[in-house]
Amino acid sequence: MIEQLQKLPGVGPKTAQRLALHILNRSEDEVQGIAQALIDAKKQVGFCQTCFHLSAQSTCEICRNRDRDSSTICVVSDSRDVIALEKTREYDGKYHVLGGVISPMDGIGPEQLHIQPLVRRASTPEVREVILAISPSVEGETTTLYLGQLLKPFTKVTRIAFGLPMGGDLEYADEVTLARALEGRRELD
Amino acid sequence: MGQTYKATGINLKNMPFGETDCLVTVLTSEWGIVRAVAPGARKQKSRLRGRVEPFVVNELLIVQGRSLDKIIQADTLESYPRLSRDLGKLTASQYLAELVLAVGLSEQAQTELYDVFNEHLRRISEITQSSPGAILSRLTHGTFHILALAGLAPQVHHCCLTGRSLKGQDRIQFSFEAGGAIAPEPLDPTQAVPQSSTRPRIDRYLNPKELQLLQKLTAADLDDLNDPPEAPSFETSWLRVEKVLRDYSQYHLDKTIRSATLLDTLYVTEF
Repeated sequence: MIEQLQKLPGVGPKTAQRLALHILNRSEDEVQGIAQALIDAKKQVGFCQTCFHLSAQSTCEICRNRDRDSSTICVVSDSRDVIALEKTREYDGKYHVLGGVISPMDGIGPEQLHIQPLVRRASTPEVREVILAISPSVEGETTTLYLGQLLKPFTKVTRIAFGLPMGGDLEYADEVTLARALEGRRELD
Repeated sequence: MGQTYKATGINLKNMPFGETDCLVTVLTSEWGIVRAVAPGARKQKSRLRGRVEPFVVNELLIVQGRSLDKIIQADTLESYPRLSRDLGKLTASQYLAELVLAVGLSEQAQTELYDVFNEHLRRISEITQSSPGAILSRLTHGTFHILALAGLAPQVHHCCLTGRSLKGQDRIQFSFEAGGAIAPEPLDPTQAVPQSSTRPRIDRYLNPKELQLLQKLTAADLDDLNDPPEAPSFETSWLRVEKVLRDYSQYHLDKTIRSATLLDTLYVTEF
């Protein structure tokens, strides 16, 4: 059991041992509940056919929601990013999950991501803006620039701002982040 | 705490490590390729966060560890911000980084490789008109110089077999196995390669323009180019030269340059 638990992300030998002992100390019903929840999740949760976000149904709740703005698609690399953006409660459009970022050095190319379905969605007249919300790493930038080139003929393409985090201290920011923050400056309203 | 050492290095690659750390591969001038952990570098407020991104040059203070070294301080010297504004430049930089990873050595000074890689990144980042020809010529130039430092550059001025000078001939042969260009079989049988030596496998045929471009790569600068970088023939020639040099590198390094796939996606479809 310890070996299996160690396969989980962020779980080292000590944490795996602690979790294993904790599970062994619980009642049989509780352990069965955990096991069943894991099996059910694996069986039932798949990907939305439209946006590729995690979903128990063929179309996710966000894509089904008619109150959301269908003219805007926010492109993210991972389902975790959808959850993070939803927590802001600032965005009411739709999403598209790429399933990773283009990483040429690791052999991950555009064809391994959900880019073709995105192009199909973006090329419909209904879509007026695609927002690229991808982390500003080298791989993220490669993906952003690639998608920008690909989608520009169909619709307006924007990207989220990058630079200093809220509560961040200018003095303690690294030069790379600070340079990007300067580059992405904008006029005050 | 283990022994500390200082190094000036350029990041080649980074990957998530544990919950909040990064595993960074750095080409240092003093110690060659170093793999070190940047603790907490993925935390939102970490001072190392931007400094461990690829193509950032830092002065580093590293502490030796049992299995992996640990970066404890980094002071940025250069970050090539213009690379990340253009997909072609970004892909070419990753291509060169892969090549450096393949030829770079660890635990010994790699000053020349460090200088050459930095110089070519600077040249790629400073391209003003980002046409495929301009990027491919800079990339190919960088590739040639990195191969030369590793002792693997192909012979392009003289025939690999006879040593004869090569100038403007048509259908020059190129053999990966023989290590470069080969003059076509002469009509005069007295100048032919001796019967005892077997002719190596021919992998490509070069036209005079392609041979000329390959010969230009041996120079320190690529100033004397006849065609403007935006001319289609210029781009097609560089594309072919890049492909020859890429296949030659892959043959000798026994390694696929993965970034080249994206380069093909970007440029091959344009011709």
